[in-house]
Amino acid sequence: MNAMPMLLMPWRTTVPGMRRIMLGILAALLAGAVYIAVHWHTPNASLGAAVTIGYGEFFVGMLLLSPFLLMAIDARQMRVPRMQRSIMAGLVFYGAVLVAAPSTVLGVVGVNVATVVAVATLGLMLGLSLGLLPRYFAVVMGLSPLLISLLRQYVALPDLSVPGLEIIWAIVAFLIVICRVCWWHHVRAADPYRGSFAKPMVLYTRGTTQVGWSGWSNWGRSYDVARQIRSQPQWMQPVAELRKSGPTYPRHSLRIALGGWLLPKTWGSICRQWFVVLVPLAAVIMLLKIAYGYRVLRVFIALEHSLTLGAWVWLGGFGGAGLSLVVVLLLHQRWSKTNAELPLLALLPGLGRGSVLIRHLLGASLGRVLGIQFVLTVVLVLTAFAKHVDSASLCILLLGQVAGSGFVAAFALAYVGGRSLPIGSVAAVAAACFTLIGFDNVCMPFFSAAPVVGMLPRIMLMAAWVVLIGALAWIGQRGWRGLQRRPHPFLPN
Amino acid sequence: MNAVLQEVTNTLDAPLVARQLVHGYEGQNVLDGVDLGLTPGSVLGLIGRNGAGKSTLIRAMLGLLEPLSGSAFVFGEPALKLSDSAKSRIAYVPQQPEALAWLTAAQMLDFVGRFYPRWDAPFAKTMLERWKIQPNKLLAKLSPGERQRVDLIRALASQPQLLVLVLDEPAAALDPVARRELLRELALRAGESGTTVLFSTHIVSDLERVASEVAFLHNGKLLLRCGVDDTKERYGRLWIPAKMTAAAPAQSLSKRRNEDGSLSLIVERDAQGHWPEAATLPGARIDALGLEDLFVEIAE
Repeated sequence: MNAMPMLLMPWRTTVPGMRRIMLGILAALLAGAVYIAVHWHTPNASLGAAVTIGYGEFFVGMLLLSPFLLMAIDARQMRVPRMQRSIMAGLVFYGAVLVAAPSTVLGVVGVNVATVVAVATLGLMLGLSLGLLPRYFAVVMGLSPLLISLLRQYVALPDLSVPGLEIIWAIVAFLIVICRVCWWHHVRAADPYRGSFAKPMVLYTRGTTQVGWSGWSNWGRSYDVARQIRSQPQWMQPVAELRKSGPTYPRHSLRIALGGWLLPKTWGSICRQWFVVLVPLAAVIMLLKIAYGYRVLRVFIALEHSLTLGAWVWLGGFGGAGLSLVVVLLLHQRWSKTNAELPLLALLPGLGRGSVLIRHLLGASLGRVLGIQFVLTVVLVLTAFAKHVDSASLCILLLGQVAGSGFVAAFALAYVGGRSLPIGSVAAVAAACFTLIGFDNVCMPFFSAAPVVGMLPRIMLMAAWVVLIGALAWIGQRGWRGLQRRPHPFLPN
Repeated sequence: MNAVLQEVTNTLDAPLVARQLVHGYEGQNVLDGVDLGLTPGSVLGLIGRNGAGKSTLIRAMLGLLEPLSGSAFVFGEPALKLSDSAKSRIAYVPQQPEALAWLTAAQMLDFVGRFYPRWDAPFAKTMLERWKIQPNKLLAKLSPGERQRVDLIRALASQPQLLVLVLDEPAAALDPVARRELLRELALRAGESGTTVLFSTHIVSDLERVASEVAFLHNGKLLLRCGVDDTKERYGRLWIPAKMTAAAPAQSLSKRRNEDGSLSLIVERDAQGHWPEAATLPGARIDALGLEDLFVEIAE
């Protein structure tokens, strides 16, 4: 076998940015592990260093090694000879090297090499499994502490707080076997990219680019709606509520035509979609109840009492701004395609003209999201009064909610008015919103009933919110002017 | 051609008129002052190479984009400000329909049909059955050909009879059988109901089958517009040897100098049906061109 294809494999399966990020994470965690090994003078120092590097290996497995599967699928589909062997050899080789190198460094500074190798390999295999195994494996991984604590009441599980290397290697062996089985299955599947809950995460990351785990650099760009719909299981597909559509119901009709989050759905469809959220939530509550004996109602009451205003603001602010972002991206996508909904809407009779049409269109695009934002604001203000918070906190809260609503309103006007800004500006505004919401929590009573910072930082925070709202007002006003000038709003940007 | 245009633009209810349309992308002109008018009941095939500006022209004529300059009218109304009455008389099928992927074929036809006063629901149902399209399948899950067929059904079921039916690359994703059926349907509608049809294509055989007129668009300009039957035996490739090129006619549709110094020109017969005099030069040769050859010669 020629060694060169094997050695070049990571360069062919990942983008340079991803390799740099991954190596950066590994180097930072190795530095942290060395620091722990050298400066911690406790019996757990070796284990702490091993777990730290194991965490880095987790990213190696997930981000660097799992995309090898994409290459294997391509090679199989294109019938490239001898490629499968090179890919598998590359996987084993880079896995071994990337475990051995940091383990050697840690061995030099006095950490038990056997422990480091075992924990690092476990981290690597967990990362690889997260990439290669079906998506629900991630849910199982997330709930595993709860499941283990529950099972412990009925089954005599080994004590993992003092892990024996045999147990770690047994888990590693188990993960290798199931990864191998999944690999075999996906490489031979007739349509491995077909959407289902059994589709592994790494196959999802190939949505917009030809390599794995780089999809986030393309967020917000025009995506294939059909492909996204096809990737959902049949029972999760939203069913449009058509009963109140037609020229008599222009707003409802426009929501149907814009689709996505704006699509009005039948009750059956809504119930099915909530089923996905409510059933796991009920399961988690039941597990909590079984494991800890809490009464469900008491859990909720305790939650309400224990949450400070800052926590409410965090929930409301993130939820509201996140929702705004969803609608902004949807409108960006609809107004950037020339062959999709815009020509249909432009030539559809019965939607009206001029200001009537604009009113209906803005109502259809913004009515629901702004309604939710309004309810969130009312809930937050009532909570603020109930918790007797100071006026500065209340002011920060209100500014955050205004910005969240202004975000969607400003960009909707910009897109519909033909004055769209680059997608990076959406990312910048969203990032500013989320960052300032984070700062809200610093300047507000988050962990305690009283504010933990002085007045000056809070004034600066308010000023930052005002600047952001001012920028949004400028974007919105610019869009509004464009909308007044446009002969009709269904022209692509 | 100008006489026809004049006549058309003076008619208030002319289905489709473009005047001096100019448009471009990123500093490059795609339409360069295009004039085009359609008479009621005509079937005009717009032909040109990829990137010639066909889709842009159609989109500008329907008010789906704002041209840099010039104007377009649909039934006498400015294309960018159409009334509901004018819209209900237009049907448009883009090259790769992507709209409403979240609806099933039946849902989409039901939804769109509510907006058209003369919607023919039984026709839509029959066509879905005839073209073997599952009505309860999401549009997102249909093949590109099936999706285009659904969009064609949507366009035809709105009954744009006596009106204009604008199609863009109508047969791009259709198999030969479906394409033949579609063309038959178009010919039938134009012949019996007086539907005006504008369609763009680069499949010349499709055009010959149904179009009454043909317009060649090249580099954003309308090079030629004539009846399909008129093109037969009317245009020819005139080859003039190198030593005689000084006597080449000044008027030609295209002119190309060959490596050996000889000239190839596309010429047309005069009103009396005669080729230009240069055809009689010693060593000169003339070959009459069919529509496809004419397209290839002009587009090269």
